[in-house]
Amino acid sequence: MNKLDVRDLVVRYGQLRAVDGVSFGIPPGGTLGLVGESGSGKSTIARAIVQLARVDRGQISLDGKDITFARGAHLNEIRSKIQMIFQDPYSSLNPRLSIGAMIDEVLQRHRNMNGAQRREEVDRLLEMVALDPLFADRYPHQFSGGQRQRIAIARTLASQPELVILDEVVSALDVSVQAEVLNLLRNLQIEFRLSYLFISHDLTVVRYMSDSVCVMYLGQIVEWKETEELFRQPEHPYTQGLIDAVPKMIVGGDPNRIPLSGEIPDPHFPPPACRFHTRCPFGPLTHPERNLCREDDPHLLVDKSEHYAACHFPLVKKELA
Amino acid sequence: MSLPQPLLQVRGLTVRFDLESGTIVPVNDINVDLAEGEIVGLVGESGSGKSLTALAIAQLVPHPGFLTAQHLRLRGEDITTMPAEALRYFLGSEMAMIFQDPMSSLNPALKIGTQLTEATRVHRRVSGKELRKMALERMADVHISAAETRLRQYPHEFSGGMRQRAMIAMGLMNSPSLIIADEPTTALDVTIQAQIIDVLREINREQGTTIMLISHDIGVIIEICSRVLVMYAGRIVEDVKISELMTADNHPYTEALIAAVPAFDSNRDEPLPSIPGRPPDLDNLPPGYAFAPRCKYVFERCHHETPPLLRIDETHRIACFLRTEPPEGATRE
Repeated sequence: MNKLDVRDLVVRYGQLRAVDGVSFGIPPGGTLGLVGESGSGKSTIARAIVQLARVDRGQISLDGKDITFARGAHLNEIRSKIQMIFQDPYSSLNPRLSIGAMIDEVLQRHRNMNGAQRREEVDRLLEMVALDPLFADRYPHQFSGGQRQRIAIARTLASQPELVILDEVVSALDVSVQAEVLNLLRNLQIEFRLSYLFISHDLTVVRYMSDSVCVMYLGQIVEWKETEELFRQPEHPYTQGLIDAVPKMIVGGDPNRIPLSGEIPDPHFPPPACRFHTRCPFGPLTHPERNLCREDDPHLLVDKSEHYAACHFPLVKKELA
Repeated sequence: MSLPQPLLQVRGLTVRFDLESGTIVPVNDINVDLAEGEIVGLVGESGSGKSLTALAIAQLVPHPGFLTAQHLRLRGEDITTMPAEALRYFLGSEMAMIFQDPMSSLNPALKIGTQLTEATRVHRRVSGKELRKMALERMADVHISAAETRLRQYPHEFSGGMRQRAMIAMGLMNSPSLIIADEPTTALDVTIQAQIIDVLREINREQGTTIMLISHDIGVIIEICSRVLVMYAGRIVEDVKISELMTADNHPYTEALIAAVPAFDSNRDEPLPSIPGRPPDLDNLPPGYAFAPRCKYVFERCHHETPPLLRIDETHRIACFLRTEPPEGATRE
């Protein structure tokens, strides 16, 4: 049974369907990556799972139990099991609390411990993220970006979560520090059998962290695959376009790259049928006979309970070569 | 055979801040030449001094920073000794700067067209008709379609990628010989980043404009630049041709910087190579070489002395004792 299941999730902001019929699952101890350009709906999914965004339709379940509209004691229990870490730890850490007090706050709320036990636990948690327990009396501004992200991780672990949502957690960090935080997250995952929902716009980082990856475009998942397979043999032209856009450490750039033209359309007015057809380098823009892309929504034709690509003309072989 | 004169020649460029807590030197003795038509990358982590170096070259060091240099020549003219008025006209036509966040460099209350043509109105005598024609051409250079309409719009009506294109178009108005682009794609999605990189490459190829591209992302620099300057704690630690990067013996910091970036073919079962420690605080530099405490090849001498940036061949300069004066028995293995 999956740790988390999301079925046909729809989240609206007014007329805007920020998330439009999204389904995926995360097995216990596994990591699902979510990638896509800004405005694709990645963060809204995360917010819906922790009830920071109102779910319009669909179902979210933890360990097979529906938590979509959980309230009261049940919600409190879920909040200890599902934790979220954001891009900028500085704005999510209270500047007026020492980091020890901050972690202690979580322990008081979610763990049944006395003062001495809590002090010991604070030390243990700081050590776990490779910070000196002597730092417990210091305040967030006394730490660097990477250290703050470690503090956010320690505070998260304090509630003994089972699922952690990581929303662009390394995007603001320098590469050398980024590598350390990613390594730490992977070690903690193994140690505590954590499940991760890993959200990032950076494909190389998502590839490194995830067992399977969902690629999002305008509120929908256009492709969901096991990680190696997705990067080796993407089927959706949008996935291919995203992969091509990443600098490859090739001098002068990748000569086989097929650039995506244009920008993500206004999500208030998504294109009909296949939402990607207005930018697709293999769709009606270049193949006028592929009218289907303008007429039928490929999402209606796929079974979303398993890996899929929502495309009428998937890239079976590398059409680029 | 005499080499052609470099477009930009920087000698001894240093920026100092005298603060209450003491003096810090975020840009420390930069020496570099940029040849005409080159695209040179400047890479480093936050606090390395890369952005301030760019600002210093443009004579835009913020208060209370203090710039000193032996000379800073653009097209042979030393801009550190130029009178203010002359400098304004000279840099206004020879140099353009593009920043990370176009929204904060654009005036939200003025139409794009007005902003695009402003510098040209100031710096040249051109008729309104001519001005509009130039603006349309520059908009075409950066591939903004429906340019007529676009020129009448305000910045908030543009997407992030479009704003950055408009900034580049604005920079091109006076046909500068040097564009300094400071993290121009950092705030953009990868697909848009790739488009902006293509625009910069095209401008360099078609108009011969020299570009200095500042980025924390070595991947972006490898894509577009012919040469890279690597900065650490205010100094250039390596100056190397991109084609020699990863093949030559690089500076240990450069090597680590490249290794820390996850690639599409990196092994997912292995931990990512990280650089232990973190960049030093400028007001609390370690004795000796600033990179020594994080270097995996460090030896005794590095803890006492900073190696000078030395040329080891025609296209490669490096500040590392291991390469320039290796001690007995030292290896990189």
